[in-house]
Amino acid sequence: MSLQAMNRETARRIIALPPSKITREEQDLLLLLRRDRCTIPVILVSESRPARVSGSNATYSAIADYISENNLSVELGRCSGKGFQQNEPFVDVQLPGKSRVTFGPVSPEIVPLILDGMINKAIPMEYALWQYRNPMHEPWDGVPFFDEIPYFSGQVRKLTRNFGLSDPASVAEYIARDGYKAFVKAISNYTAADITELVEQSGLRGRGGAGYPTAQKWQVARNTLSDQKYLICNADESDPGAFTDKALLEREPHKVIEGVAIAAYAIGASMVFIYVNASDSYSTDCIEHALSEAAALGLTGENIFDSGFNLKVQLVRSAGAYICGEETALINNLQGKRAIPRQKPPYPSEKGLFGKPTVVNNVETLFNLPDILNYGPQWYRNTGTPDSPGTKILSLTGKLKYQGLVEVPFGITLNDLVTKIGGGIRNGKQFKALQIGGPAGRCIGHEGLQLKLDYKTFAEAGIFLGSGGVVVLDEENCMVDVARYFLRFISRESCGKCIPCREGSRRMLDILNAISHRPEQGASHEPLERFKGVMTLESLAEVIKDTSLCGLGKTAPDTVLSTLRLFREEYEEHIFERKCRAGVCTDLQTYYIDMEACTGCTACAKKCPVNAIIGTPRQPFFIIEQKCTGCGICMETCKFSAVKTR
Amino acid sequence: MANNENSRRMNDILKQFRPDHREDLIPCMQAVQDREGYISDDSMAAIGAHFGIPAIKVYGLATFYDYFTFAPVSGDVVRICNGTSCHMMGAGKLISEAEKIKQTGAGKGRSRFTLKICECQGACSAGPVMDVNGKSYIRVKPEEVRSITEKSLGREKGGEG
Repeated sequence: MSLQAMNRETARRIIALPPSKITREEQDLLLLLRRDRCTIPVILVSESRPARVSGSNATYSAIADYISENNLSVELGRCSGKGFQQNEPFVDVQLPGKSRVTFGPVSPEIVPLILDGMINKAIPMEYALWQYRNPMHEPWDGVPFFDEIPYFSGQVRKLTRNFGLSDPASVAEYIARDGYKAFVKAISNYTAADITELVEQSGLRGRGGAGYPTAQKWQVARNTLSDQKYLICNADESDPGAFTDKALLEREPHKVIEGVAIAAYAIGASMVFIYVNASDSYSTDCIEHALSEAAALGLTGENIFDSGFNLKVQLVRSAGAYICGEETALINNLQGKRAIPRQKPPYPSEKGLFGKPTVVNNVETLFNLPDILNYGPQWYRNTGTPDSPGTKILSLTGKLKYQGLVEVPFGITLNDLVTKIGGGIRNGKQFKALQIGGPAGRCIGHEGLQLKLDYKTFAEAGIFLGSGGVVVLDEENCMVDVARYFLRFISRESCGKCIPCREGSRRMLDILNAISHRPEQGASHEPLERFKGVMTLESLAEVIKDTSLCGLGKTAPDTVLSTLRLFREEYEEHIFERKCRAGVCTDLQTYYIDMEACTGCTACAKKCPVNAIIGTPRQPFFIIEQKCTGCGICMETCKFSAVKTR
Repeated sequence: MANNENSRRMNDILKQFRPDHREDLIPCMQAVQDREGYISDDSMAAIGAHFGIPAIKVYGLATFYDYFTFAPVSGDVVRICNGTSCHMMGAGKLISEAEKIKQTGAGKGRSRFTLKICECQGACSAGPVMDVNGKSYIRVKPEEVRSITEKSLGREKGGEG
C-alpha cells in the first residue's frame, strides 16, 4: 500500500507525535497499512532476488490475470523477501479477519489452485507453509505458525522482524511500523552526545568485520574540530558469497536511511555518502527510490522537522573492488583515485574524506540504530553476550537443507547454526567444513562447531567474522578447490600496493593450481616439486600475513592455512596419489567403465563431447584415456553407476 | 558524421560532471560505461581532457576497477554465477562447459555470445544459477548448459531474423 493512502502532512504528524496524540482516522489507517486489518482479501507476492530468479514476476502476472478474469475484489501487492530461500516465490494471502498465510513455491500453474476457493473464503491449506501470529486475527487450523518452523524458531528476528511482511517500496508502510520515529525523536529531544552515550551503553560493535565499538569511532569524529564532517555508509558488499548488505537495502531501505540519519546527527555530519554495489542494480534502485520518498517527506534536506539539523544524502555507486571494504581505500575511491589503502593513523575519524573527519560505518551497524533508540540500550543488550550484544545477520548458504538470510543472537554455537537453523546437511551427506567470513575468513572443521559466534571467541580463535557469509561444505567439496577459489579471488582483488600480497597470493595460487592439475607428460620429478610447493605454501602465507598493510593481505592466506591444517591429508592425496576424493578437481581424474556394471546402453557415448567412449551396443563400453578430457559428463549420464574414476 | 555524433553524445555526458572535482571522475566514467557499454580510447581521452588529467591516468583508474570494460560487448550475454555458494555447488563445471560451447557458438546461427562470470546473485539455494540475456535458470547441471544456451540463443536469433 503506498503513500497515496497517507498524505505528506499525515505522515509527518504520525512520525513526530506520540501514539496517544494521533487521531482515530490516522490510527485506522495505520492498522490497514500494518495489515492488522483488511477489508478485502490481500495477496502479496514476495519480491527479492531469489524470488525473481525463481520466477516471481510470472507468478505476479498470473495472479493479476486471475483476479481480472474472475472479477475479484482483491488487493494485489508486493512484500519483501522472507530470508528463506527454499520454496521461492512465496505468495502471502490474508482474508479479512483471518491470519496471514504464506504459500510457496507458487508457480503460475498452481495460482488457480490456491485462489479458486477464495471467493468462498477458503484457501487450500495443504499448500500453506506457515501462518503469522497476530492477536487480531483468527488463526487457521492445521497450519503451523511462523515461529514454529525450525528455520525461524532458531533465530532471533529483531532487526529483520519486518522482512517478508511489508512492501520495501512504500514509506507509508515503514512509518506504520514506527519508522523514522527514532530519528525525529533524536533530532528534536536529544543532543548528539546523548545519542553517542546511548549507543555506547548498548555496546554496539561495527559489523564490517573487525568489530570496533561504534560509539568510540563516533566520539573521535565528534570531538575533532572541523567545519565539515562526513559519514560514509558502506553497503558495497564485495564478498562473492554474501548477500546480507544487499538484502538490507532491498528489504527495508528506509531503515537504512533512518540509521544513516541518526549516525550523521550523532557525529555532526551534514553530508552522507551511501556507498552501494554498482553491479547490483536491484538494491541500488531500492535505496534510490527510498531516498526520494524520504526527501519528499522532508526527512532529509534543510532544517529537518524544524530541528535545525541539515542532512544531504548522496548515493555513490562503487566501481567494483573488494579492497573498498577497507575504509581508507574506500575514501580514496570516493575521491576519484585508485582504491589503495594507506597507513593508519591518522584514522579517517580524524582525517578522512577530503582531509575532514569521516566515519565509515557498515550498513548493518547503522541498521541497528533505530531499534536502539526506540527500545533503549537495555532492550538491545537482552540478546547476545555482554561482550557482543545484539544480533548478527548472516547469509547462510551451501549444502544445507535450508538457506537464506538469518538473524542470530551473538553467542549461538556454530553447531546450532548448521543443524537447528540450517536443518543439517541435505541429501544425507556428511558435514565437512564451514567457511565463514568470505575471502578474509577461514574454514572451520568438525571440532570448531562448538565455537560460539561472538567477537571475543572469534578473536581468540583468530577468526575474522567478516561480512557474515557462512558457506557450509559437505563431503562432495574438495578443500584444495575451496582454497583455490578464495586465492583466485584474492589475487585478482589485491590492490597491488604491498608486494607480498600481490605477488605472494599469485604464487600461492600457482602452487595450488599445480597440485590440482594433471602433471605435464614426462616430468618425472613432479611429485617432489609439488610437495615442496606445499611446504613453501605455509611459509609464504606467514610472510604475507606479517608484511601486508591492510586487512586484505593480513587475512588473505587464512583459508589456505586453515584448510592445510584441518585437511592436510587431502592436500597429500592431491600431490602423491593425484586423486581428488571429492571428484571436484576433474583434471586429476581418469575415468573408466566398470565392465560388470555397464549394460551397453550407449547413453554415455552419445553424450561424450570428444567421442572418447567406444563400444558396441549391449556390450560393455570403453573410455579411451588419451582422448578423455575428464569433463565427467559420462559419469553424470550413466544410470547404472558404471562410470568410475581412479 | 559518426564521429560528430559520438563526440556530441560524449559532451552530453561530460557536462553533467564538474571538471575541477576529481571525485566526479569515477561517476563520470561509470556514466560513459553505462551509456556506451564500454570505455573506448576516444572516450578516455575526452574524459581526461574534461578533468585536466592525462588519458593514461584515466586508463589506469579504469583498469583498477572491475566495472569498466574496454571493448564493445556482443548482444547475447550468458552469465554464470560463481559466487562462493554456486561455486561449491559446481558452477566451475558449468563455466568450463560454457567455455567449450563458446568456441563453436550456439543456437541456430551458431551465434557468438559473451560469457560473463559474475558474483553472488543472492539466490544461493537455487544454485548454480545461470542467466541468458536476463532470463534466469536455476539448479543448472553441467549437461544442461548446452541445451539452455542453444535453446535461448537459437530462438532469439530466429526472432530477430
